[in-house]
Amino acid sequence: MASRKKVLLKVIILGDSGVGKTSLMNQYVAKKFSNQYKATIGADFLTKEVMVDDRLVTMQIWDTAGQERFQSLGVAFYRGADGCVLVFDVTMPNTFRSLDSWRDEFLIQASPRDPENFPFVVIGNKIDLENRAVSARRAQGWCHSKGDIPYFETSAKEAINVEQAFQAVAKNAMAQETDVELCSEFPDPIKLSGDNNKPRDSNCPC
Amino acid sequence: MSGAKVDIKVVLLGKAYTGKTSLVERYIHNRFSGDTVPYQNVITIGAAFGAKTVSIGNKNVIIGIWDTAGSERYEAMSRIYYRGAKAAIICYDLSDRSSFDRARFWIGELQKHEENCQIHLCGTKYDLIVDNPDLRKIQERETFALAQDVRGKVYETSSKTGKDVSLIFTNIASDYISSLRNKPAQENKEHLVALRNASSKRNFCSGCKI
Amino acid sequence: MATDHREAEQLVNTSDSDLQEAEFVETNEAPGRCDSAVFAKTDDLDDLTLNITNGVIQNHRGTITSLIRKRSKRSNTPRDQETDADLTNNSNPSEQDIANSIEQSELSSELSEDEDVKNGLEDLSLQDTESAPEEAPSVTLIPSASESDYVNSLEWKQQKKHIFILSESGKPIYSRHGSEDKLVTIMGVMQALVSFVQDNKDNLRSIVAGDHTFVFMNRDHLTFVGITRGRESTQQMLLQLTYMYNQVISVLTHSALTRIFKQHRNCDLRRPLSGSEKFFDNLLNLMDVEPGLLLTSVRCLPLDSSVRDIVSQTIVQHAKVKDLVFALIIAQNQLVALVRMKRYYLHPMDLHLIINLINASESFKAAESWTPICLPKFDAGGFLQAYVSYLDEECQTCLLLLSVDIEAFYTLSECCTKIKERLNRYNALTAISNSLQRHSYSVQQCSIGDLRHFLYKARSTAQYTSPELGPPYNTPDQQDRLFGLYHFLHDKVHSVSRPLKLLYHVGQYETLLGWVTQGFELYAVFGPLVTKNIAIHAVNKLLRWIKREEDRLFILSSVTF
Repeated sequence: MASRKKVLLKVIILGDSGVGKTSLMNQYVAKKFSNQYKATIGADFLTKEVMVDDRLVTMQIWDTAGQERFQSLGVAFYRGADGCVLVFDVTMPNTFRSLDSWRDEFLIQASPRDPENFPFVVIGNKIDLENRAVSARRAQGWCHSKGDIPYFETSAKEAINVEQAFQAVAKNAMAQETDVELCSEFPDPIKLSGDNNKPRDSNCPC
Repeated sequence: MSGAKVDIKVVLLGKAYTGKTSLVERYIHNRFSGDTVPYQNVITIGAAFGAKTVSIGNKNVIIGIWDTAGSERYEAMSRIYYRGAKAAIICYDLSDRSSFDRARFWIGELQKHEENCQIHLCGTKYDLIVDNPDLRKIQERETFALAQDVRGKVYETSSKTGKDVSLIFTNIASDYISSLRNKPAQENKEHLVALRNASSKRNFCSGCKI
Repeated sequence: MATDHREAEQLVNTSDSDLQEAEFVETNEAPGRCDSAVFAKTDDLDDLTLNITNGVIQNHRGTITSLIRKRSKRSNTPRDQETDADLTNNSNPSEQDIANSIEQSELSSELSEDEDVKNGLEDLSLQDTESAPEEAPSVTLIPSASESDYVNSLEWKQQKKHIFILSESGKPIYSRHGSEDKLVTIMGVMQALVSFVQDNKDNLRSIVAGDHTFVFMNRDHLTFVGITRGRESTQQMLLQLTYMYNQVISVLTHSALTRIFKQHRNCDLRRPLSGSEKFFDNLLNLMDVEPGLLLTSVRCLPLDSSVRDIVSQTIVQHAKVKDLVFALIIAQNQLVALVRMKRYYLHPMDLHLIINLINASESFKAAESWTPICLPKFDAGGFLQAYVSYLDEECQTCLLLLSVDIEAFYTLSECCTKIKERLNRYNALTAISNSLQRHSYSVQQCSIGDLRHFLYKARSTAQYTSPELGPPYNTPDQQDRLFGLYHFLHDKVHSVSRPLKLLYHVGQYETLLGWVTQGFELYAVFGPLVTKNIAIHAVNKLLRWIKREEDRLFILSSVTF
């Protein structure tokens, strides 16, 4: 049954190396882990089944396998993403300043149809550390300026807020997915011009 | 049965797997295979056409029934099936909430494109909720409210037991007879002409004409 | 051997002029190892070979150790030493004859299932925790609930052929075995592999892993993946994937498909395709048993030409309607009659989609239907409207009227009534039904000793004929094996790097002869003891028999409105 099919949400996680993307993913999926693919070709992903508004969906979170080797992952990695999680380290201001370029990179590569409303989520990670250098207010300000991106402060280590952040991206991505009317346009007519259907070789005519 | 002989065109609309084909099967052939044949084996492709003659008083009326496929991909094309229909039977599965939401969509479509089409709301699989009342996902008062809005009628049917299946079609035929009495035009011919006219009209939709 | 060869050629020269041009090639290669052999020969097609080395997999259970070797299109040099070594690794080392090696591979496949699995499917999708780099999380594969049991079962992995369709973003659309819902991880891996190669401005064509060949095809935002451990060659797998692609187009049209992905790159194509899943399953089942798809040709129902004339003339008389492009009658996957609009042709691949539509749907048996269908070879951009109705109570003989006029239903319904009346009046429907009951013909009717079975394709009309399957091909296993032999023979004569006109092949259980000319393709299967002389004699006799029977077996004249 069409609508009963389990939706797959493809979510990309981006951010400077060392901000804790892999830890976040592992923390998030550890509870109900179904499958993992460990990459040698530029990307890892983890799969987790989650409930979003009473619907069971499969979330597939794609992570880069080490930026130093795969600086540009190319269009293929981003293509058809349903959501994007931008991560920075609250103790490292430079990782926060990189968010702009990560967001731009994503929008250029994935070129979503409606960039203004694309389901992003921003995560300020490592709030368990004491040497915090990026205030929540500053991060929220940035998120607000980019079209009210939801902002979450997490600790992958202490499992604080991780679930909520991923749940938010899943929920927003689902909202876009179900809005889509795919079959609303009337199909194109066939015009009988008589010359677009010549047999091309001896195998053709019947 | 060719279209030229049909007095009333009736169209069945609704989400896939609501039991439109079973309803027609019960009505035309008085049989039910829903329990024995896996549904995906008989899923309707495009639309199926069938006809049946009913006697109302001393008059015979031929009802031509378009049983449309519920799959999403046919939506854009559904207009070719419901255009010119005197009545639409909009089906929803009494045990499936989403099918009722889809019914609202079809009502909207009809009101937009075919305002003279009489709407009959038909909740299907009544036998299921008799067996287990907890399965009911659409309350009668909701459908009555909706029916009032669109000046339509409401039925709760079971193609398995036959409950109220013929009633819908008999009502449609009676409505037609009384409309004939009210304005004794050559409705019969008109319908045919309307079809033919339509096929030469170019304003129906940009996509469908060659 | 040498004298044998010469004599055969002399014989050929005197018996049929066509054969003079034939390049006579004799092989003793075992089909059991033909996959790898063919792979090597057509290597210039495979820009890239991704090998999964056995050793690594066995030791580490699954980290993809990618040995990516690019072969430039420009260098058509024979395979190099390195490739050679790898192929030897993957191929069956035995040099035994055809039948032996088939038997062996069947036997060994039972014994080494686990190994197959390790070499093939499983390890592509799995990670290994023990051998993974240290930053990898220490997790093990937990097949979640019972629902995913099937796709993790041995049964799933042992399927002879898997077909997957996924979108370019890696979203599952279709899987032949197991619910695509449960296969998101393997599809993700496939997308990763395809994308990785694409990012290097290249295309992934195939992977050979143990006994399995993975074939990839990218079309219109979709990736088609075929995995086989049967005897289909890469080319033949590509043909099967093309049929799958055509089926997608047939449901959606090319224009709608590209529009959908242009507007929603992340779209879940299962939604617009819903309700058509059966067509994909059925098409794949047809491909496993129906040689017409391999030969891109159709089989006609054997009928006296007088009956066939009545049928087509009836259609011409009663269905001469504006905008009607094709009218055809199909009975049990066989073409009874075809009438077409002048200047328009029905491609056999399109006809197979039509046959599949009828074959897969029970719903046409209940009532007259009116449904859109796109025929990609005819016009991938739009739909034709098909009027579909069975003509007999038993629902064996099906009439299809394909029009570009979306309003034509009632008109065509009247045509159908008239056609039915006239066909009944001339007893044509009875003749069709009798022919269906007679089950085509047996190979004995050709009165050629030692000939067990054959496929004959008339190239100019894209039609083929073949006798019923008789002994020893009366069990599913034997039929499957016979079909494998035809795949082998077909692949050899159509080999891209070394196409053959004639192939004579001796095996333990049968001797094969493949022959391709301008006019026909013939694939004949003999008993194992037949000599080359006898086989050639027999084939010439068979051609004469076909010639005598051709107006019964084929539609010879193309009828137009």
